[in-house]
Amino acid sequence: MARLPRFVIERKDLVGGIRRLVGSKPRALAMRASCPPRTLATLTDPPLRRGAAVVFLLASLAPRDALAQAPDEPPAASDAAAPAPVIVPPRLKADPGVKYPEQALKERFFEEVTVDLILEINSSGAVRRATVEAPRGHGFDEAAVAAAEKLVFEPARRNDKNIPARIKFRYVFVPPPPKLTGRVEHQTAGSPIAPASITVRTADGAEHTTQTAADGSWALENVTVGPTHITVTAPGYEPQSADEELTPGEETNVVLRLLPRKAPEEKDAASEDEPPVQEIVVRGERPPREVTKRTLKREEIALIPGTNGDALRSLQNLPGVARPPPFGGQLIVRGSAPQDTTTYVDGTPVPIVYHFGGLSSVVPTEALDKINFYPSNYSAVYGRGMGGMVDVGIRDPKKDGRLHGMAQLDLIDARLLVEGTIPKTGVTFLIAGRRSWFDGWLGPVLTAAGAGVSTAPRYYDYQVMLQKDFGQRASLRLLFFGSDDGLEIFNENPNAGATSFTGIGTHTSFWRLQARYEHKLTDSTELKVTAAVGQDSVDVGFGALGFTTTELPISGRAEVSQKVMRSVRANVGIDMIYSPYDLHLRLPRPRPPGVPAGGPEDVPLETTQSGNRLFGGLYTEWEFMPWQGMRVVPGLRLDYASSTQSWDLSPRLNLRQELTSGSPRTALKAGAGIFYQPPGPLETDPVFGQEGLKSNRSVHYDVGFEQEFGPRVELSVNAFYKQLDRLVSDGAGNVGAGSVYGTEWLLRYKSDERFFGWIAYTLSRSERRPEPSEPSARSPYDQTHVLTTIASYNLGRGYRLGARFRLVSGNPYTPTTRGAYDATTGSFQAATASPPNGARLPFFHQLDVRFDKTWTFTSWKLSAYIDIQNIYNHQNPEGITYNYDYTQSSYVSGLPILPSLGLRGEL
Amino acid sequence: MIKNAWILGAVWMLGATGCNFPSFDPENQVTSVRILATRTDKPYATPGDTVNLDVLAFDGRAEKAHPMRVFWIPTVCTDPPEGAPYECYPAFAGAFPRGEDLTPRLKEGMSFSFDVPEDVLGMPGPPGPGSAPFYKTLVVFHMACTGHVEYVGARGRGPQAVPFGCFDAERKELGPEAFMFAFSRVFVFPVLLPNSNPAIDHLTFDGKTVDPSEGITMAPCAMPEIDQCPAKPLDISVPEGSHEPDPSYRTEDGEMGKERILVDYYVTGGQVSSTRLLYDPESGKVGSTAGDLRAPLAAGEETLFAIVRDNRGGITWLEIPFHVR
Repeated sequence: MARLPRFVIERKDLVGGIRRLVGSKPRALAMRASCPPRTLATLTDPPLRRGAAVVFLLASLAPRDALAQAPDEPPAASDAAAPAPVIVPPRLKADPGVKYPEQALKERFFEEVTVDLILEINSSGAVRRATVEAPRGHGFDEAAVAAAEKLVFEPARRNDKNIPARIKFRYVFVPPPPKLTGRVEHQTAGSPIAPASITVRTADGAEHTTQTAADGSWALENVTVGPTHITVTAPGYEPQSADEELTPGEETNVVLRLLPRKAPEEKDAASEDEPPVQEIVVRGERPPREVTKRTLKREEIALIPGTNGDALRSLQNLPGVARPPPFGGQLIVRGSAPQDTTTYVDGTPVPIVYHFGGLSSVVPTEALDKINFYPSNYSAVYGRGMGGMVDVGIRDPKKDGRLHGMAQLDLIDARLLVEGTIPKTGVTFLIAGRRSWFDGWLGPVLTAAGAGVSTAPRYYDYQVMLQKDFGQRASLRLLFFGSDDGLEIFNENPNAGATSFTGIGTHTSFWRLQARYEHKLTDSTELKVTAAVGQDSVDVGFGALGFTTTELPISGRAEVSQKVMRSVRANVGIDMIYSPYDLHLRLPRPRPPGVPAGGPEDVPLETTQSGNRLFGGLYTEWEFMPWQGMRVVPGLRLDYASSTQSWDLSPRLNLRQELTSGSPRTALKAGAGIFYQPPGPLETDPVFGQEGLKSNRSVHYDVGFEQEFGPRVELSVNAFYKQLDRLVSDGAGNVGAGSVYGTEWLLRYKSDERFFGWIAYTLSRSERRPEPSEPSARSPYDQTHVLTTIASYNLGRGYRLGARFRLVSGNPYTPTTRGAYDATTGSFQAATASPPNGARLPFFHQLDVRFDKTWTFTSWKLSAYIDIQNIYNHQNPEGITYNYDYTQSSYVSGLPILPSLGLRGEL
Repeated sequence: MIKNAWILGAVWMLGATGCNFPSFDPENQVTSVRILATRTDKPYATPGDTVNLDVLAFDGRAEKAHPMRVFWIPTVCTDPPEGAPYECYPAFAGAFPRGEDLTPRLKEGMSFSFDVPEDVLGMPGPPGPGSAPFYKTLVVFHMACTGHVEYVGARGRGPQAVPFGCFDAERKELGPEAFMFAFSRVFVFPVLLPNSNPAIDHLTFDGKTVDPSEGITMAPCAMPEIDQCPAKPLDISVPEGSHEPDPSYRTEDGEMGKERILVDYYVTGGQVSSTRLLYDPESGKVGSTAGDLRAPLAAGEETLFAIVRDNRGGITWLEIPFHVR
């Protein structure tokens, strides 16, 4: 029977460790073999823990006459008489090493794995056979065998004769550490900054520092997996920081752009071509659990022609968003009605997102951190909407201890922002406000023009924020924000018509007091709680008719995010809205097409209601990363609506597969999910609405890919399909149905110091069928082709020129001819073609141009711009109008050339 | 001065940036075959009543090769769904053949009478929202045509398209200037609800009461555009007694309201204001109700129409000679 030989083996492995194995209970000897040499050279952690290792262990498996035996062991009793042979075990001469298998990385398997092998080594020292003792899967066995077969030994010897040997050999595979690389650039010029000091605080609390190279690049290896905070400082620049999640075996590249901290002597010489600095993240069609980001910088948003620098209006240039009518502050997303797209501010629902007419957003661009925009297939975190979703994130105040300010004035409004730190408290603050002032000049203009009406439109909004950080893991933020829009049109000749029309007055306002608490409870557990109280008011009056509603919504949202294991994260949350309301409506009785005015029923309907509405939602969402580059996000949401007294269950699934680990990036993505939207308040009103309604329903499907072409150019393509059913139909219940399908293309050049731009194209079809007995017809929001091209070029010396061109299918309309004359009321009826929306207005096309000039002074900066919409003054048909008997028609054209001027100062 | 310049600049910009709405000939310019109003002696009727209708129609064409004729469809449409007249059209498909002169089948003349069927009300359905009492709608169709009438169907123009056409002797369809299709509604209640046609006291022009038989006389306007011509006030007086209570109407205070009464002016030449409110359902008699009348650019004999309507089907009118000398 073979016996275990006892050897003393000394070997210096690749990482310099000397190990001594003695006896029959061998210790593991670790050897780093998986990382490339440049990575190994920077290892700082102990190799036994960090490196994929080779362990070898000798065993007595060779034939008895060829058996090597340990010299330091007393001979067996049966051999005592014979002279003990001198046995020298095989000794490793060459080891090409082994890598953590790609298969395991692709499968997102990051565990430390040990593979034991039995090696049969011939008398020349070559490995004749390698056998795995206990298979481990994930490609470890194959990698171990392949590596072992390349090992070369100095053969075992008995006395002076080479003999074959059989040994145990162990590989220990340790997942490769993440790699963190980056580049530090000038904020706007994009030029490299060197030297810059980078400090990286990893999840284990360790801090690593390095410096940028001459080209601004930097790299750190062997950093710990998990959340990582990166801080960059450089002489003459404002510090900058970022947070990233590091994954084993993956390289994370972080580009940080620093804002110059201007010394007085620098400012005169500073380039005057520095646009505003901060970034806003606009994520198109990206669920919050998605891996990659699509980012538009704030400087891009602020410079898009035709938007007056308004961030939310920039959304209208993204694929999937239809062109709204002029002065129509609407988001028409993937063929859905505007009211189907829900809007939030940091997770709190708000009733409006634009001031009236879409002139500007209710939250100014300067106060924004990011805009999460989801055309469809959004996370189970959000419910009660079946179209798109917009979540506006308000940024934190600046924390550099200095006071900052901004003031802007244009023909429409004036705005102010102040932010900084309250001394000795650690509390940062941000105060911003805006008020329109065109009511100051439009009224006299209308009077001078003899318009017969005078208007007094005005709006304002405000934001006040206090924030306190409690260490690195927790923060509390209080935000008070609101908006107020008022419009009154006075008719100076009130009896010139069928009614004593004295004018229209509308007043829409809301405010919210929001508290947000975020706490990273542990390295793997995060808590986020948001609560808000507020008020929504709408007061619309025209003559003796009108409606008034007041709601006092109390909303809350809480979510716990738990990292279950390395490749699995669970998110569980609850959100709720409890909203007491008062409602008074006095409106004309709804009249279907073809039903003439007049008669006993042609009197106003009136209702007064008080009550409360409750919407509650529970959701859970899991993030799985089963293999490298793959992210599977299943979610489930359960909603309750008191207005329908029913529950809705919404399963959702999003998938994303990164096909490449570095640049140029290639990714496939897909999603499917069910979305419910409760009927609106008027639809369930006992007088104006119907009883027994259920939620509208929509099923979203979305597939697509993203492909980078170099560092600046990216193509994103999607195909989507939305199936709509249970739509509320006037007087008929939930019998409506519809569908929306299409494809979206976005080719984008990410901004550099000179240029940014993109081409967005959407091809889609949106159809509705109000009742099963009616034919399917185009929806009023159907726009077959939507092409938007944007380009902005920095001319230098503070000058910048940009242009936006749009080519969009005309809106659908229903051809109308002369119907019968109502000889009682004296009006012609319209004979509308069936199905509706069977015709389309001519194509819309428009070129907008924006020109900016920036002057930089010692302590502040002044910018001026002119934004000219429709510069070639194309008369775009926006509607169709008829004469009194519908025998003549003509297009109503939209905005001709419209210039807008603005001034902005920044401290 | 600076302010004025600023305002003028802003006016220019507003004009440059405002949406472009085209202008059409005004509705109250009668230049074609027109049915202007149809009056019933019982806007609200009860089963068994005899209802009499007369029509105010006028041929405003400059050239009248063939005279205007008024025809009535002899069958009254009863209780169409939601009171929509176009819901009666499918029944015509079975009643009238296509491509045939229907003139012999129609009643011709400026008036029409019918008896309300005794059983028209049937069983009352559940009350709808609001305060409307139980009633049924009867629809009487009539048309003005300078040729003969044929049934043509919807011709793919939708369910509300007029299913009749007016054709000349060569069976060529005539245009809207030679044909007009109209309807008038009568509302039938179980019991008679008070509802009378409004009355007209008098018409005033330039502050003076107009004798309906003598009419109004103006000199032709010498300006190049009629908008530049001087306007003179035109007003109509409707007695307070015509402002009847409307039991269906509730004011903002929850009280019973009254009818809305207004006047529509039409003219064959010159220019006149269109609609003027005379009585408001809530605030009552309107203080200033005068419209403007401008003389045409050329002399001639024109006609002015003042049609007073209330919101419950009541109608009355004046037809005044308008002498431009």
